[in-house]
Amino acid sequence: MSANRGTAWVAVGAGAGVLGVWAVVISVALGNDGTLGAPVSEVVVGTLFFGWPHALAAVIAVVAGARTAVGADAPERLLALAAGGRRDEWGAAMRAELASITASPRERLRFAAGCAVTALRRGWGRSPWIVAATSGMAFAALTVALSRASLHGSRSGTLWGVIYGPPQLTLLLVGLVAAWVGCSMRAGLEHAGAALIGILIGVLAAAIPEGALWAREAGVFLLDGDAPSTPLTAGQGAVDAATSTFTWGFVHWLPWPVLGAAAGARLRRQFGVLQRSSP
Amino acid sequence: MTRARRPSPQTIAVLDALAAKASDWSHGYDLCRALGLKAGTVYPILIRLAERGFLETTWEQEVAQGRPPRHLYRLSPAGAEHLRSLPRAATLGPRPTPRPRLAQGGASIAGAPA
Repeated sequence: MSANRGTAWVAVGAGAGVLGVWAVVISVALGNDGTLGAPVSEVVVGTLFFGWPHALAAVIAVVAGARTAVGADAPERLLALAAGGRRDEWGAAMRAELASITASPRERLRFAAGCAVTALRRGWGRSPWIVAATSGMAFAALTVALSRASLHGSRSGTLWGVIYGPPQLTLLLVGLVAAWVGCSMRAGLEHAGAALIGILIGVLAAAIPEGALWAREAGVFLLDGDAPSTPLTAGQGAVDAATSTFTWGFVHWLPWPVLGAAAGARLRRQFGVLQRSSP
Repeated sequence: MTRARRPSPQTIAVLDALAAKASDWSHGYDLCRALGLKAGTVYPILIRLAERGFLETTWEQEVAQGRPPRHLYRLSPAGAEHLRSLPRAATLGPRPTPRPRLAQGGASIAGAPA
């Protein structure tokens, strides 16, 4: 089923809006003293380089959401969105119950909202948390191992290599495989979303003390081994490791669960075995 | 392995309401209205009770045109036994009071189809 024209426009607008935000961020980052003064060509290249996954994920999210949120009114669309991709009987049960409610629109919305919360909470089975725990421990171990190896070697900083690239690839693969195995984009989102949380906690748990250690022993930042102009305290090293994990890590990880889940669902759909109600 | 846990007052209220219907079937929304509880409270309870075998579930056979069959619930023999086995003090707690606006709608557990 192709998205209708209205959905297509909203999707394009969402993608363009995301790129616009990135353009402002890049422009401020490249400008002097936090002003919008960077060369246009650099802003465009930076925006496309860093922003394309977010823009693509925004487009996919809008299209998939529109495909899933099908209903006669807002309560039905809300519940369809929350329970979409569900393979058990409860999602269908709550939607059927909502269809029978002829009370006021407010009462329908109240019922749908309660059911939506139930449907979303029900989605989190055991396997996403196993994925989250495994991902978190793996990335914590990777962070510590590379940090210690570099600290006793080149002292060139290691956090950059851990947080930019490997998490994106991991989230893409987790989302893809989970969507494929679970026969729905929702399954991919649940597992890759859990992995995202696990990776963030794992990297932070390792990077913060390692950042403090690097500051004490080498006087440089864990991110890239740069030395500040003034002596670095352990607290500053820890804070820099945490903020770097968010700005150079987490922000860039966000779209990859969506991209992986969408890719897995699309591949599965091409083989003709994706469940009917999945986005 | 299922943990033995003292059920919440809301769970007991749902069990009581279903027990009052004996072998008749109930709808989720009717339970919400009769007990004055939100769907976000009642459905997790129904799901948990069904997963533990305390509820029997089925789908409506006779459906009004234009709407899908509703899901129906009633207490299973195991559920009835579970309710009987609950500490008396737990079952004597005050029932949630239906919201006045909803009570005026006239729907009640007794109004659910057999």
